[in-house]
Amino acid sequence: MEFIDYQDFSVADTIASELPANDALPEPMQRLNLSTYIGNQSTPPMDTNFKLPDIIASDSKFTNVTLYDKMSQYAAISIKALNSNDNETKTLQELDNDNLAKIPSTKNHDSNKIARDLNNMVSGSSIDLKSLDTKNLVLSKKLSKILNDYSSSNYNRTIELKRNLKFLEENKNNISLDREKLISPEYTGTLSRKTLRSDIENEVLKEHIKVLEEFRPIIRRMKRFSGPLEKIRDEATFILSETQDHSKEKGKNTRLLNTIDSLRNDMEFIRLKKQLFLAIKEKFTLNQVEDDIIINGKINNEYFDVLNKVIKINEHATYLLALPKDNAGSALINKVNKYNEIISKKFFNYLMDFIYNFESNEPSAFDRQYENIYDTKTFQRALVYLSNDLEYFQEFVSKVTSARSKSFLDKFLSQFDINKKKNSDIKPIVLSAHDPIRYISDVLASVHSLIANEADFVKSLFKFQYEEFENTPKSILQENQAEFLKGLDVKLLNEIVQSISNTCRIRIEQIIRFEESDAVNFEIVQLLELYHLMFVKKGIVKENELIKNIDSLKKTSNKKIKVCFTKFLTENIKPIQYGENSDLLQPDWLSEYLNKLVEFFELYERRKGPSSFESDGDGETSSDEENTTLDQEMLVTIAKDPFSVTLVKQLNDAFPQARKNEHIKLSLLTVEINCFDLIKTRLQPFKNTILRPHNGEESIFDLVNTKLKDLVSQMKEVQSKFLFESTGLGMYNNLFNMIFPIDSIQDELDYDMYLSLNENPLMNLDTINENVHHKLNEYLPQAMTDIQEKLLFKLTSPSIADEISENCFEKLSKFYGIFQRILIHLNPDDEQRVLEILNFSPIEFHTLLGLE
Amino acid sequence: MSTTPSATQQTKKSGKTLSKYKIVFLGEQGVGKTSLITRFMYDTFDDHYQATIGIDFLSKTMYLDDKTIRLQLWDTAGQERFRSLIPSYIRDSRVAIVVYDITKKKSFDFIDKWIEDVKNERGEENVILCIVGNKNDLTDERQVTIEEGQEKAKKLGAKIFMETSTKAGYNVKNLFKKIAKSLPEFQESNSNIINETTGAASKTNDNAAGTNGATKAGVIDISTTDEQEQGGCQC
Repeated sequence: MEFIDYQDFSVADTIASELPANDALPEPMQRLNLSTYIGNQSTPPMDTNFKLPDIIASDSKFTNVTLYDKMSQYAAISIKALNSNDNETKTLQELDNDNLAKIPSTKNHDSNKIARDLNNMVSGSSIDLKSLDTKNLVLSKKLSKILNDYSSSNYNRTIELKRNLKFLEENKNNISLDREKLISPEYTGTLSRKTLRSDIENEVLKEHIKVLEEFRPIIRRMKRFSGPLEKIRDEATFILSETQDHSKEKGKNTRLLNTIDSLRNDMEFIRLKKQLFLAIKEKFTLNQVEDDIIINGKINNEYFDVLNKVIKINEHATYLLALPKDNAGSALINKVNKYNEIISKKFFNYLMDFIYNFESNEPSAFDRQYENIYDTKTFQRALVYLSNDLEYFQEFVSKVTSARSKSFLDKFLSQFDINKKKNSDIKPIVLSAHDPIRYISDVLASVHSLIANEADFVKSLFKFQYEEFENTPKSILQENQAEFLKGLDVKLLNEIVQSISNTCRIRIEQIIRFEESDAVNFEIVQLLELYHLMFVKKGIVKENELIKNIDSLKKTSNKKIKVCFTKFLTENIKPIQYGENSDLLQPDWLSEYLNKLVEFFELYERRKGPSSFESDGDGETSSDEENTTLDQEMLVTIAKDPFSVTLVKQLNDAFPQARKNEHIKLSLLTVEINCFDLIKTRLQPFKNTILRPHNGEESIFDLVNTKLKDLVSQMKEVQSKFLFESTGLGMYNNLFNMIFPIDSIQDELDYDMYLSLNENPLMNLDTINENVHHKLNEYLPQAMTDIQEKLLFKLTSPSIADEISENCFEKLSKFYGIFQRILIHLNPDDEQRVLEILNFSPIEFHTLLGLE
Repeated sequence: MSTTPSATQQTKKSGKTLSKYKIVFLGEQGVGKTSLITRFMYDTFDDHYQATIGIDFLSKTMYLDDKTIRLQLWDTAGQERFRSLIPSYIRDSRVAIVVYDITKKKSFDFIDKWIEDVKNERGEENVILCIVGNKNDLTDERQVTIEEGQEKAKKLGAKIFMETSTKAGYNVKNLFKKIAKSLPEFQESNSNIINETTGAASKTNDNAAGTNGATKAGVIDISTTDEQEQGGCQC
């Protein structure tokens, strides 16, 4: 909205003053009534003594409450007062003139004149109607003259006025003028417009004062320098006058100049000294702000910056110690040490606070990671700095370890607290008589969970990412990284975890100690082995007490397995007696023991998996021999000694006459073969797994097999002996073998080896006939039945019995044939006689013995 | 609504606090439990199969709906010889994810046994059961249909059923987001919202929101696209 034109404003103002007080709104501007112009009536002097009536003193009552009404009433009272005070010569016209005098454009007399003329035109009650036309004419002329007299100066003034008003309009926000009031057509608007000039002038004055106020300190400062300047000027004047006045006295001048030089040098020296001190101050001391930060500041980046400065001061102070007088260095070092003490304490407290917050209210501590002061980066940085102070650092580490250990132990123990967990949906760990494995499994799983959680926590705080530490002196990182901080997370974790090692061991040990089952103990060993692996995977070192305890428990459990087997043997092996009609079977305990052993082996294979028995390129097994339950010692105890020692001894004790009596020996051999055949059969499935050859030595299975073969071989010999004796060929067999082994005969030429026998009376055909013929003919047809049904009948393995009988018959048959041919060879003339004595042909002999 | 101590604790922990939740992964050997975790943790997939020895542990912080939770993932071995360990880990788990291989019917049949194990340890109410059909990318070899999976999930009372492909990275983040939203921390706010906003209106709009499905202990609607679901998850 534009401001109203000034001329219009003044006219409208005049008219407004004539309006009745109760008019609500101003009417549109009326055209000037030229007929009311009173001509060249001289304007009376303005009444400068007029005063606005006191509204409170007035007896008029404000009936209305609005401002407009009040103002209207006020205007009415004013007019009334004006009229009453008028001394007949004063008119409203003058009053308006008076008002117009306050209009800003009062500088220009022309405009005043025009205004006055115009006012005269609109007023004028005593007009001579007669001269109206003339006056109108004159006035028209005058007006046209005025209007035509639109000189450039007038125009410029208007333009300037417009420009000023426009400027006011543009800066309306900066000037505290009530714009709404200014453009208000009401009385308040009129008043406001009237006071516009004075308001603006006030504003300008205020601005000027403000500017001057700004100059005040500058001037004050300048005044301060005025004194010294005056002195300098006086001195300069004095020097100049001195030099001019005494130009001839060169010596004096020179002294003066020297004094000046000396003073200048002193000044330069002092300046340099000052610079030096400032540099020293900057390099070797902290300012008050920094000092305050060190003592009272929060641990944040600003604090670390100050700290870096302290470290630098410390480094620089060491140089000072190298000076001849090391007082300054010592003092500085002492000061820095005090700072370091404060810093260390501050860091210690900060770090403890951090841990305490984490400890007491874990979630909120995590929250605080996002806050500046409690973020992990600040924590780690503080810890890096603290690691410079070994005493505090160790104290902190030990306090953290202690606090976390306690918490760790509490968490572990709370798993067993039945009352505490009453309302929880997580069942407490309870030992069940039926399921000790589950109890141990629960215990170890809870430890595993706790370790996993703790590792998570420790890594988040104590695993350092050194590249993240900006603005940290390298010396600090390099010095402490390797020694104290590297692997601090693992170290802390291990120390914290150690707190439950004994509690955990006791709980598992009580199960193992009372567990009698080898299978359950083996399951426990398996669990312990597995958790050993998993704990190590989580960062627990092998030297940790927890791991040591687990290993120790594993050993205990392994021992218990061994004890289970040895106890079984002790309890079940009792002296046995085999009567004449005994079946010569294995002792009862052997079958039970083998069942137990095989069951255990099967479980072992199943739990270990086939891969654990696979051999690598060197024929060694891939599994760690030291850690396996069935190590060589264990195998010897449970799978070798019970058979090769205990069993053999028991059987020998059962047949004490075996060495003397062939028949008893035969029984002993039969029992032994039966036992070892059973052992071999039961252990056969584990030949290539559990009982595989170990370190190039003969395996337990091979030992059993060899023993069995040995026993069968012994049996063959005994049986052959019986057979040869039954047929009467035993003596001749021994005789022939003494001269040359029967088995070594290759062809008929070898028969000559026996020519010497011709001189032996035993080789007399009659003697042979007497010793052999009858027995042979009598026994041979029943030989097979006799051997198989009587002697070998009690062998449980038919294959072994067949093998023995076949071997014996073949041996007999072979000897019979050779014996017959040698006799013919030795007695070529009595061939017929020989054939009569040994009346069976080799084929017949074979057939009778059931050989093919 | 019953206020167990844990529930109270959860209420205290509202806002920016960090709650930890134990999740156990169950299933037959070779169904993809480890690869599911690897995809979630590192967004990678390894073609080379390596059997898990014992129980493995990994943890990850998830930011969801202005809340932060830490998921502790316990990866169990599928091999028979490690079976005896698993109940001890189910004992204190909040969530049990039973994974099967959609190309191996046998692994699907064994879900009943796994769920039974979980229920024996944790009861019916105290655990969030999830059934996940993995190897979704092997469509030619599929032996178990989605419908069969959904049917089984409904029958066994699993709150979440989903098919995933760890190889293709399909639905994995979605799965964990759904699991996170089923946790008490999110459930509380969800139920409040539902109670406040729906009220009677929910009767007429049963299928409007997935959360409704969850409260019905039925099968969560998985028809929403992966992209849509992954929008708010910054894990």
